[in-house]
Amino acid sequence: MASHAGRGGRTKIRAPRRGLNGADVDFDAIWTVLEKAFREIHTKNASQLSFEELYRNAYKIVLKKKGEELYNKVADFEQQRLGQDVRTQIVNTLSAPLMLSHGSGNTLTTASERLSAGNKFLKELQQSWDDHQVSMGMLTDVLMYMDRVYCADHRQPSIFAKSMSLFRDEILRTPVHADQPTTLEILTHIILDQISMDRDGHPIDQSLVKKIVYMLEGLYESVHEVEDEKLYLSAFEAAFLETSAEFYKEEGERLLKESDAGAYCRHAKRRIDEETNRCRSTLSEMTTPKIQQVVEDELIRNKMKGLIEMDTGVQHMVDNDRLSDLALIFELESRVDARKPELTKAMQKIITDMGKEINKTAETASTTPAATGNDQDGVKAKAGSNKAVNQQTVAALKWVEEILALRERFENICKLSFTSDQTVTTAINRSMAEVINLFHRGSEYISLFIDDNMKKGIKNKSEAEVDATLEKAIIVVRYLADKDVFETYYKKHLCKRLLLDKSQSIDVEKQMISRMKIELGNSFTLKLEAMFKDMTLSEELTTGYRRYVANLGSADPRRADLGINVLTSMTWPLEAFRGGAEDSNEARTKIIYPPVVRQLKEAFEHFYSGKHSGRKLTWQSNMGTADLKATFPRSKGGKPRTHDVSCSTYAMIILLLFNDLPPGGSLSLEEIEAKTNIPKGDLTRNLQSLAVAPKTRFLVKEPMSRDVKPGDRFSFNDNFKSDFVKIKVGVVSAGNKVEGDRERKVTDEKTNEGRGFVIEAAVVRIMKQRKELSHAQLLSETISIVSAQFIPDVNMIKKRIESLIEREYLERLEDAPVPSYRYLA
Amino acid sequence: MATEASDLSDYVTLVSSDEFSFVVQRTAACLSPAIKRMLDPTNGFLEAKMNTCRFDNITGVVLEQVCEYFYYNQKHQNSKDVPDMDFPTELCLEILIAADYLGRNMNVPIGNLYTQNERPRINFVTRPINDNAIAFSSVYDMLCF
Repeated sequence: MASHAGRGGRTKIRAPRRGLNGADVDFDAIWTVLEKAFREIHTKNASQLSFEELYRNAYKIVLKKKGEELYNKVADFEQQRLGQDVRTQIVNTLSAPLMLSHGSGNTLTTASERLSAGNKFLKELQQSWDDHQVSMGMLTDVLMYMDRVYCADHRQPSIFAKSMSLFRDEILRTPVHADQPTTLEILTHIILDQISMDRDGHPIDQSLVKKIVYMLEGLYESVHEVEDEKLYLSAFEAAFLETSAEFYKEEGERLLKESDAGAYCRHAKRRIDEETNRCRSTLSEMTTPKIQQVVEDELIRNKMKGLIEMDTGVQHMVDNDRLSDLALIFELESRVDARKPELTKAMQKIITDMGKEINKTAETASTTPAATGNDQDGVKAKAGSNKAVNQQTVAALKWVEEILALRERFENICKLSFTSDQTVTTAINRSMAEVINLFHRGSEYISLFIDDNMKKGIKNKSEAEVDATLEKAIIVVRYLADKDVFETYYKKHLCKRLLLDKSQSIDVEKQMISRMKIELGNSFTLKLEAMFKDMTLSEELTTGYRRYVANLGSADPRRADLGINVLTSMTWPLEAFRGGAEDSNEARTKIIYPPVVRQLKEAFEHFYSGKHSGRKLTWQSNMGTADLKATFPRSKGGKPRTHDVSCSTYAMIILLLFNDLPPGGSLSLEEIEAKTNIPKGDLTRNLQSLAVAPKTRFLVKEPMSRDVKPGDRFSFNDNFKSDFVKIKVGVVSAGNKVEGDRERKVTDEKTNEGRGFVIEAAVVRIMKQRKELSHAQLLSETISIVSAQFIPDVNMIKKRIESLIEREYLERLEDAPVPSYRYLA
Repeated sequence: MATEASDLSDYVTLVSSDEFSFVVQRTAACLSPAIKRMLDPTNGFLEAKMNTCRFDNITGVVLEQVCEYFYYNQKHQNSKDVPDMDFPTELCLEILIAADYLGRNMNVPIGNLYTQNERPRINFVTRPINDNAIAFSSVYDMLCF
């Protein structure tokens, strides 16, 4: 190795050699050497140059504090080189088609001409850029010491950055000729032109464009090279996005006119993918999100409405079950807006429309026969079969079925096309609820639907099927806003099912109740459960009574048997059995029972009061049934015929009247009424069953006519004939049917009344807790409490509050800034 | 002790102003950005072609220390708590200047100047120190000019 300057005993720091550093430096001479070398480098001819020599020269200059001079010289040198040699070369490649296309539109030249001319220009530009970068890299290496010491100390941009900005200014920012666009503008135009060719399907040299884009990305607005001031962003991207927006706007409008919605969706999706690919292969990844935004804006966001409302839009897709197209639309819209407002709106509208259609059908179906409905009741009832369900009831069932079908259909769409998206699902559910609640008979119809299923539907069905049916029913119930109305109807229908023993299975009934309990809460089912309890208790009571009678010892074979249901008056909607409003006004008249029955009644009353003291029994004779053994006089040559007649309690009372009558005697309508005290409506109906219906004509009416009118006379029909031993007299209004208008009015009134109490209770409860509260707050709290049961009417709440004030539960606060109330204990 | 230059070899030759040649591993020598660029084949300067760098302003004595440092650095590249490498004190100024010339990224960071046993001693810190331009220029200005 080299000789070593040994360490002496005494250490002395050797002074650096003076010769090199101390001597004066001839700047010009050195610059001449450097300049010559730079020229060599630019002509790619560096192999004869000694890096060390150049480096040492630059080092010397900088050491002599002439860094600034050197820096400026280099900059000048580069500026000249770029401004003259390089620029001329590039401008020369700008051929006529390019210049023309910039000014007067693209019509004059064909795409391929423009493409090749453009490519020539791009190639030259790209070549110059590459060369510039390589040589400047070498120059920078040689001038490293200057960069390190001079540029860092004087906060000058490195010579490389400087030369890059020189390239930008001299080549790109300079007009190609006086009064003409700059190279950069032409460049931008050429790239945009090529991209539009690409969009139209002409193949272009993507890698060349990509290289040019690299160049633009490598250049900055200023020498400081701020990241978001790339030339690419400022000069090209904006223009690119703008032309793209224009292009897609135009294309979107054209496609909306020309193609169908499904095709449009597929096209839009393809375009988005295309632009993403283009950014990767031709432009810069930086642009990907931006151009996607543009395409989404132009093809989706701004067109979504039009797209959905197209003839072949969402409506068409739903109608024809084009699930994949719907999925496409969904996908597109979820790209631009997570809430998907247009699609949601469209779906809601479709549901509402379809729902309204269903509602309308149900309405017309239920109103048309309504006028004759009441008259036919009796006759049909006498026909005495399950077919007696009238047209309205059919309409009700149909309505529920259709609503369920509608719901299922949209749920399906939601699942298959909209990936069970939360927002859309919620919106669809909301629309369903709206549709159901829009139909003012919804509650009644749903209850009827359940009623029908309980009576007939679940016959011979497996447990799973029954379960499904119940689930279906609950689904619709869930949508109901006025749950109290539903409760009223359900109670009424349940009451009839239980008392008339129409239900197929008490187990299923109980299942239904427990489902409602889960869905709607304890308070909702409280009364319904109480009804079941009453039924069980009554059964026990009846058995107990029978045992009591048997133990009495006075076993009288002629004594009539009694089965009884003792019902808690508050829980049972007994008005359901009364014909209508007419009866509710008449105080419950005392029915005059035949002695046999009266005896029975008194015996039971005695038994009952022995068991429970202080309870008052009210006999609902209008709900009972009776089994009679009727003997008809022998006809010519026959034996006396006995029939087992099953009829309503009223019919029984009427028939028993004729027992006491001499043969051939007759009673007028008025006489019967006076003797029995049966309310007129019930009387007429029962007489109709007994004297008009052909199969159960136990009485003969004078004159013979279909209707029972005042003054008609009745006599026992000695000639009654029937092939059956057991005869069932049609029980009028036994089935659950749609209410008549009058009945509905009663129900509505009752509902309103009930709501009034609920609201008052809620208000009092709130005020008791809060003592003082402003009007608005009280309103909102009340609504939130009550809305579990029904949607309250604000006016009603106001009225209730007024009424509470009158009754001195509350008082108005005089000096409060906002209207407020205080609770009076 | 001059050796023949060989192209593409793992070794490069560094020649001092007084014609001493040092054959050094390329990877070690390229610690200095200046040497690295000189030998960069893509730039294609004479040095790269000949695989030899001549330094007209560095003497053999100093260059030897520099080469020693190259290896010292390479040896301890990935270790922690590397002890400082001691240079002959009398050469410290010249080494400082050479280090500056070859590029301060050389990680010959320029050292803590302190007094010990009543004699000044420059202890070259071999641990990489990011930016000691100030430390360097003050020493440099103090001692060189």
